[in-house]
Amino acid sequence: MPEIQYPYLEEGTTFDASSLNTRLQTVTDGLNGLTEVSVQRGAFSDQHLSNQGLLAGEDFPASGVAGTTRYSRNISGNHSYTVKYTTWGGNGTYPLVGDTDRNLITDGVVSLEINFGASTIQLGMGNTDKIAGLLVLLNVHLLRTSLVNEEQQTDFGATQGAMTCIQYTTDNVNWFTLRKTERFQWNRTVRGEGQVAINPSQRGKMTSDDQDDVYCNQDISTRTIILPSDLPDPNLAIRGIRAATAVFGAATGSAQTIYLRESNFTVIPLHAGS
Amino acid sequence: MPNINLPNFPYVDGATPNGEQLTEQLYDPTAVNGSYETMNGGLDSVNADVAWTKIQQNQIQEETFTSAKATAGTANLDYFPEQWFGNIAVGLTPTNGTPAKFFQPVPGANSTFYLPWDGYVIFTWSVVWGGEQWDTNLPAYMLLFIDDQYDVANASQRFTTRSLFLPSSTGPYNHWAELKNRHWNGHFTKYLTKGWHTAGLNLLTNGQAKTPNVPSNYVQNPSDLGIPAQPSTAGGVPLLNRPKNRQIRVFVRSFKHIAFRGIE
Repeated sequence: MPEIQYPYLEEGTTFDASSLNTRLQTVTDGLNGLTEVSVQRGAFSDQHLSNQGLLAGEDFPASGVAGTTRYSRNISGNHSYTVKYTTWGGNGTYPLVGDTDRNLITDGVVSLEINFGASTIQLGMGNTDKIAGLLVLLNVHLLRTSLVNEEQQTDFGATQGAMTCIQYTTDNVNWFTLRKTERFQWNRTVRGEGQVAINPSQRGKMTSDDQDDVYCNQDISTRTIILPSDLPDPNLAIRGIRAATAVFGAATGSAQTIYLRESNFTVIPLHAGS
Repeated sequence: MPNINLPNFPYVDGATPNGEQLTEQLYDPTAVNGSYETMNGGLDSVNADVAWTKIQQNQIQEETFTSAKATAGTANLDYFPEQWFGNIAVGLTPTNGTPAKFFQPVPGANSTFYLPWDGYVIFTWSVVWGGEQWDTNLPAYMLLFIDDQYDVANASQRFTTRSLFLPSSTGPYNHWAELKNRHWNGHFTKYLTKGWHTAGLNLLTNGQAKTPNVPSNYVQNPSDLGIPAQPSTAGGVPLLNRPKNRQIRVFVRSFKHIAFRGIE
């Protein structure tokens, strides 16, 4: 920080323009010379700085749905999916064909997707959006699975499950999977006493035969940061981020289906580093 | 920073500045960057020199852009629904409208905090719970409350259901904790205004439903190891008038929030 010197004008001493100029110029130069390294530790608070802070969400559209925000989407209703997972990382071919083996998580009203439309974003502090990365959180409640005609899964082995992942698009047509965000959960269930295979006269007979535990009810969570290095081209102009899901596993059946319920999705764009 | 450019300056030998001209150099709030008055709040981002592009982390006070808090607990917490939730009869699909007084806040998973500005708050938590539950249709819910309110549209509720099963025609009931306990690492994001707030996880379950008050095979003592399993008529031990949700145990849990200052 500059040290400003302003010697007193002494009583009885004649001063001229030059002596005033020297003093005032010293003060002016000292103030103008305040640089970023001149500011002392802890000098700034929220009273001095932008109310946007670390968030870099200028291109994030406001959400008009109650309970959601510019950075988050939530689904509470039951919804089903039949698209089957085929390949780790997706079955598409970047950049021409997107991954078709997974679906957007949606209940038809709210989708776990944040779309920037024409206002694309580029990751990396070197780009104009100044987004170092995206903090992404995803929770998905796997309710149950089914194999045929929407019947509950009757094979109580863990032969079927759900996978979730985070995807991005550059054209709103083809969606590509961020491999490190893929998760899955088996549909783990327990057979109850109502099954024919168990003698109903034996101990533990329940009042009805619906007491099999055919619901999985497990939560699949994802916590990650999407950085430029996670993209095939770190300067990609991204038009949307979304959460997707697919049927996972080698179970057989004509209509493999997974049922998801409560789901939460958050994408926070952060300034950071240089 | 800044770019102070004084008027009437520099002085020239032979010219005589008047008092106003001299005073304007020292203090003139009407002239942007035109006097030393710039120091009175003018050393800000608007007035920053173009060469000043960064503010260092250590130049920013704590809680300027972010704020956070965490709480946790490890001791097991046992809830006996007949006593704790005797007025509650809830089903598989949660609905809004149950009075907050019927819920039980979970110690170690609740927080009261002051938000120093308007911003986005990400709540995250980890909780494990389960219990002696005998019915697939009578769950034990864990719900997120914010400022004493819950909303199922927030999708911040999960549940456990039946945990005790007889996996074969003989032998004791098994408590399938490894499958039926819930491990929930949840999150929810909400825009909150400056001020005091409360948030955390609350427990709710059906404390009314019971097994019949007559001998039956409906629920058997899980510690009865009679093999082959026997109905009560053959020496089994039916549990009469027993709560279908007899005990809910909350295991290790934690609750955190991190807030980012921002505009809605």
